[in-house]
Amino acid sequence: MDAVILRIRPDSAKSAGHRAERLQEIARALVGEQDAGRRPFEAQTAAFPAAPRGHITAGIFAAEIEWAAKADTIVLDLGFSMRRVRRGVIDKLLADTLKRLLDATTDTHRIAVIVGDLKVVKSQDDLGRVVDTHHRRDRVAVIPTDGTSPRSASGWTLSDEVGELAEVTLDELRASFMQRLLRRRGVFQSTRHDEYLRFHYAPHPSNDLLSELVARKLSELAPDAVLYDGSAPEWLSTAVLAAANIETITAGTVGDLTSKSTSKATLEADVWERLRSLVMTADTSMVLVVPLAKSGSALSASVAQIRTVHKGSLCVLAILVDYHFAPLPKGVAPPQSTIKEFGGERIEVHYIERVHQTLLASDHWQVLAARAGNFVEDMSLDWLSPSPVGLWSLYREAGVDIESPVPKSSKRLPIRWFPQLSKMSDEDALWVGECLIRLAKAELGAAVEDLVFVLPDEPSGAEALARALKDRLDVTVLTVTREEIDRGVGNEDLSLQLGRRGGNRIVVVDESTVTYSTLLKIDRLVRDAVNRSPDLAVVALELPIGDHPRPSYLRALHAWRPIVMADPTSGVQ
Amino acid sequence: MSSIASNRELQALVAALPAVPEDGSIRAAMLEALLSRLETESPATAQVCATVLASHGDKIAHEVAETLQLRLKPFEGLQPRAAPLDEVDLIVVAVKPPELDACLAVFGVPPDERPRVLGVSGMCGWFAELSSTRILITMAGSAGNVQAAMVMAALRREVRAPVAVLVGMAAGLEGKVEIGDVVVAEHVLEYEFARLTEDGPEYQPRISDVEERLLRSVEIVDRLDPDWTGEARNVVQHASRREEHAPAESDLAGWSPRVHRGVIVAGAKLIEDGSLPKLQHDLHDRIRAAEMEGAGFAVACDEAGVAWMVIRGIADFGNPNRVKGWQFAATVAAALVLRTLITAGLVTPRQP
Repeated sequence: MDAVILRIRPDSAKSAGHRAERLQEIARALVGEQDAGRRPFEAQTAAFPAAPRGHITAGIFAAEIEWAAKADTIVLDLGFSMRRVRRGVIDKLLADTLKRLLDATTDTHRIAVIVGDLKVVKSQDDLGRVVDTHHRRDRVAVIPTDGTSPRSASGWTLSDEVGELAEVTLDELRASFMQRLLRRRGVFQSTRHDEYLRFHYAPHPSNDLLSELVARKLSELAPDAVLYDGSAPEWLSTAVLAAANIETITAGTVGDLTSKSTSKATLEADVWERLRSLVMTADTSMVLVVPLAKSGSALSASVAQIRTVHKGSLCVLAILVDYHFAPLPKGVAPPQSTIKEFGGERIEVHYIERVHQTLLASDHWQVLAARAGNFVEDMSLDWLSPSPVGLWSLYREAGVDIESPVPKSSKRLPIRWFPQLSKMSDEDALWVGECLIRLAKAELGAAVEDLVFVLPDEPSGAEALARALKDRLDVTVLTVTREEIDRGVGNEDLSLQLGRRGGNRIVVVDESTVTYSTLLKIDRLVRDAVNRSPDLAVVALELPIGDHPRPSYLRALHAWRPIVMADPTSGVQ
Repeated sequence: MSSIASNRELQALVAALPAVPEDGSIRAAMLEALLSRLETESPATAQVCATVLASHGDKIAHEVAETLQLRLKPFEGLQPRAAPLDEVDLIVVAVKPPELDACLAVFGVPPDERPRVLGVSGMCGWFAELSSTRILITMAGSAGNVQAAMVMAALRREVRAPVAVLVGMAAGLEGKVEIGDVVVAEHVLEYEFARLTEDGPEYQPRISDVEERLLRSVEIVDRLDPDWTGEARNVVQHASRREEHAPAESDLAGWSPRVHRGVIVAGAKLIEDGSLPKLQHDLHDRIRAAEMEGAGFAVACDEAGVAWMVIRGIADFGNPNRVKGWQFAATVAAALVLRTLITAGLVTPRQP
């Protein structure tokens, strides 16, 4: 074999990093192969628990290492975020894997290690120690994904193409960021007391790409200082400060900039002095970062405040803008910036992405409902569960129709008015998935790393929800097919996978339940596999009919007892 | 969903429905959610709403309301049984009408409140709530251990509850208890099992044990609620029930019931011959009271995995000259002991 690709990933982020095609290109560039038409190199993915308890078995990945060692060139892809795993144990695991791989190879082998946010593998890290001290260290190249230069062993010259291929581009970063952008439904209080918003946007807690995105934007705009509003959400201030740190740019709030003494500033005295000194210089440039620009009125106030002290160059970086803020004719690729007038001054507003942010009229049914039930939400507060008004808005969007399909074995009539969760969008699925995760965490009092989610894998079911849980919410997911559920026969893989996660809490997930049948069948599969029932079952929607036994450990985001069944003879269908 | 959250959503749905676009099927789902919540919270209100909507609503509302009416119809006549109400936290079982009246009075059920039919058990029940504990109060109707066991088995098919308490009156052991006192059973003895020999019967009683944790605080009811004896007098004086030979005002004024832990014997015999002291001598030193249902009740509860208690007010001493005037008052005292324990959070489901 010329080359093989071995991907190592935590359970909770199996799809993170470069796609298979890109890894093939990197491998091809590494071996200097020009012919893209050749058959692809062999590739394998090996997963490990994101939150291992104690040590991980010493022999883990033995088969994969033996397999990889047969190739001359090994691409060891570790391109995932270490922020999503319990680092100490995982550092050791990765270092041990590389060491055993080097031990298993000869002096003619070459190993290219692709690293994500490990970036520069430091010598004090476990992995760095192996790279620096192993007797075959001259056979190793480290290739970061952030665009910094690969570090290759002496005698192994990597082409520029390898670094370029390994780099995660701005567009790719943006796409990944948007995939994990949470859009909550509900009725949210706008900054103006008489305005209500339909959505609230915020990056998912595991979405750690924003600081890198902002850093790249700052690198492009090259300001002397970066500002944000003091009342901005924490996710924004965290990302801005991290990005400023990466780019070594002074950062502070608008209030810091305009405050007249250090005692009123939130910054350390020396940072505040530096920021103030920039104001004194006419040719300094500043970037104001805001979370979302909609009408521009809040932005206008911030710009006016900055302009009281800073007369130099100023531009805005909005993480998100409403479509109306930066309208474009259909089919035109967004330029990621627009010019807006604030107080008679034209200012360039850069943005990461456009989103829909709808204002709700005060007589809109959602606002009436939210105000009557006290469900108007404050965007600055953390949240635990979705408001019923948000869920009703979801049902309206996804549609309400006859329940379909109804399991044949149940021999019952379908429910006439059934929210079609199987049709919800990827954005809604991400939100519903996050709601279910939060429900499970709250019910079990457990960290998300300690949960393993078991869900039915059905092409006709809520595919979007399954996709969100599997690929975008960074949780450990195991699936069982409908055939396995109906046969009720334990699946060896489920036994193995659950067995590996002995200390984890098992949570069964489904988008809806009517007779609890699927949940109880999965209960049986879990008990067959690990000799105990799941710790919890969570569903988005519980619509019970009849008097079926209900699992005591079931929790639902929303529930009611349906009334009308669809009558096949009445022509309703 | 908690009751508070459910009420908030109910208010939200009521406010939203008139403004939801009529062409959307979302409206039908919201209407179903509204009516089904009402059905849970207040079946009578749900029925009124369904009736109004069925005659005045649009097509969708008409269909939903009419179907809901069908769901409620089998229970017309008395208030309908709402499906989710078949789950309560505690069942109180009385045996005879004076005992039932006492329980209803103590748990604040208005005298004119009509009961709900409990499925096909032939029984009716009143639902009350006390310190977030949902309580069903019902009456067996017939005396006897077998009858009590059958009633519990039938109730279990209609209502799920983790705890059941038999509350009523009993004959007390003179000298150890006073008329109007309360005995909380620590064991119930089904005493009539016996081998009949030439030398007389050899009693072989069967014992049912109450879980100790339910008993630990019964003797400090005075400390849990220092006013409970005054409350007992108050309930009896203001009750609508009037009995022959009811205790005189002067008797009530001096009535200060005490709570005893002890053994209660339960058999098919109504003791009116003064034989209770002999039973104590022959069977168990801690016998304090005798009645006719506790043993069957206990066995049925144990069989169903339900935690149970038997609490009896002392109405007489089982003597030939016994009178019935204290049956209601004694049961009021017994029910008040239970109420005090519930309020203190001490009557809880069986531990795993």
